Amino acid sequence: MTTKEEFISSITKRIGRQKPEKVNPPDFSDHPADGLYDSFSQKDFVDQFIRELEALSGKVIHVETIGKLGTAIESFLEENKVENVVVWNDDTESGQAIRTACEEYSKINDNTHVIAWNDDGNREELLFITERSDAGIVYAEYGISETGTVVLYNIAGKGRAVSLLPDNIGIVLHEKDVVPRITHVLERMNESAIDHSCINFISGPSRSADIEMSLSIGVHGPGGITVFLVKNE
Amino acid sequence: MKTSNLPFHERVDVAFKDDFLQESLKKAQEKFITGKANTYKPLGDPEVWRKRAEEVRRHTIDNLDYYLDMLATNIEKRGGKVYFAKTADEASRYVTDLAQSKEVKTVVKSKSMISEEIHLNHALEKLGVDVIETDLGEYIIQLAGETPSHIIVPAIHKNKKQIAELLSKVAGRELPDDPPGLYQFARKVLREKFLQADLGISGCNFAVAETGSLLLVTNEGNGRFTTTFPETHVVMMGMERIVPRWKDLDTLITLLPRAATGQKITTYLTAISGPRRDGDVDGPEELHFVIVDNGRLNAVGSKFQEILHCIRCGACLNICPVYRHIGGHAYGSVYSGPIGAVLTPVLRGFDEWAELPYASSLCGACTDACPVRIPLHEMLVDLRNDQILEKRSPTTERIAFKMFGKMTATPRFYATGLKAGKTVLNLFAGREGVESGPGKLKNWTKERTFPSPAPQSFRDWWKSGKKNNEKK
Ligand code: SF4
Repeated sequence: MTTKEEFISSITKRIGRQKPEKVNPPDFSDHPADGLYDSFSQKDFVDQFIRELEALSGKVIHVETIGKLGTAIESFLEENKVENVVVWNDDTESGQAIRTACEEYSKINDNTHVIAWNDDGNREELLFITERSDAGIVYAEYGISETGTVVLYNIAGKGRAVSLLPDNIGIVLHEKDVVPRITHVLERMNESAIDHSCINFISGPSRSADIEMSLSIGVHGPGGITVFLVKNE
Repeated sequence: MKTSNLPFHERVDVAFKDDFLQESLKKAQEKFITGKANTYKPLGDPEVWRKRAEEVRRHTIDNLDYYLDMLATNIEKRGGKVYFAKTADEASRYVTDLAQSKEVKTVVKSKSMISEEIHLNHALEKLGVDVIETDLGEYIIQLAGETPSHIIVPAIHKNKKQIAELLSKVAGRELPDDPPGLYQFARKVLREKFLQADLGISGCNFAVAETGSLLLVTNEGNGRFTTTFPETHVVMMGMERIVPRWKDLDTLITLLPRAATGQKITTYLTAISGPRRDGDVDGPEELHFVIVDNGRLNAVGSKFQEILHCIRCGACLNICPVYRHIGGHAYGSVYSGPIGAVLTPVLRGFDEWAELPYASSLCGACTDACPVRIPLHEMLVDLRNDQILEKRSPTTERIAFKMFGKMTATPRFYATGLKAGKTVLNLFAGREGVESGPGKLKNWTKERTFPSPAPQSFRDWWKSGKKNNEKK
């Protein structure tokens, strides 16, 4: 067995100097992306986000205000003929809006059932139910314009499986949270990674191309991604 | 590390006779090269990005001891466990011991080249554990009992008929060879395994020292499955796969998918920091990092240190005219293409890998393609020189030349590879950035007659005399 000390000191020896007390990673005053988006307005970033997401076969439903999320969710559930929908259980405004919208819908549609991630049941039960759900609805902390990406922070009621197991995923994203590129999310990761055991960057549906390089969608994870894009209030 | 017992030139022969392999390598290379160009374009000047990416890698590896220490401390702070493994045996024993102590029955694995290096599947299977690769390409070759032939597209050498046969065995009935149906079947099998598995093993695209985190880069999402459902998650990490801070990932993660498959980003980037927290329902209860040396130390402080800058994008395979013609298996090592030709002898020594540095035309296209600017073809020259110093060259060089001569004398090299060959020649006929390549090449070819690729007249000549020469 090799100890940590042995392992690391063998590297130090090969490098051929003392192991430093402190190393400062290089900080650069410029960024290779400087200037790429100088002429972009926030609307341009949002438009680019939509273009990139649609190019990956993701869908966008525009929502005027978070209060009107219900209509958008209704059309999403109807279009995908959803019977079981699992949602995050979270008391932020977006979290509440998602849950309320789904519950309202299920009240008038006997065939649709709503499960909130950790309301009841243990881990095994929840995973079992989620695996059998046709849709999962969550919200994003950020949207990344350059790549059509949504960023999900998972913790407690915001389970990882909700955006992974169901065939169709709905994601609420506020236009104001669309950032130009991944740089802006990474800058905050030193804190957010400490607070969350899992953070997912999702760009379109799950893709596989391992059989003669023919692209297939949804082999492992969800085949459909819909973003509910909420206008700035 | 070894993936075949056939001698090198026989492995090359096998690849040459495989029409499907030849066709799909060509298709893949063309697709990836075009995709790469298209996704680099919107970034502005790619050199600025590559230089920055190189600087980040250089700084990290120059201070590898410091950052590994920081990483280990922070993994533990997040509640994870760290194990340092000097050898393949140590690494694999740690995992098998863990599997035994937890009475593990089913293991799901997402792609990890290092487990290939240390033959981890084999060790686990010996214990009677059911091990399933969940990257679909890896799953296919696992069923076939083979090894990956491309870092990014492991089953590139298999056609749909062969895949249908393999999956039919799992199904216990005959599956038609249409991809959608096969994908559907694979989905069902993999889903079941994901939910059953008690241990998940993943690779490590990047470990982030400042928070003790892991970043997994996948398209299928199998990396998410592996780290969401099993109660225990083991990360197999080569000791160089590390960055200081999240923000240092910026250029690397911008270039990696573009260089690999011509995507601006992969479908999933999954950042894991410790096991599940209080209140979390999914995610593993235990998280173990196995940080593996297995020969990497040879490179540290040597003239080959930069090989540890590699981010495993596969761009050097995708551009390489030799890889295009012989495919991954001919290299006989876990790592193929230009990266494999350098990395394997550096990790393992020349004893069994003397030919690999010769599996290259030294055209410099790999160096030009590498997102972190590793001077691959210069290293290949250095490795050849080292062999000469070790007085190994006469035989190995002879074998290598036989192989290379055979390859360039084969019409196929021109028929299917002419375009790649030409691009490559254009690259070193006057582009900046590969200057050192042709320079070295010139020195080196002074003493040797280097089979010159791509003269149109050769092809014409060959066309006319085809019949006579083919069976030689
Ligand atoms: S050597 Fe460079 S091009 Fe090849 S796989 Fe590594 S990073 Fe990619």
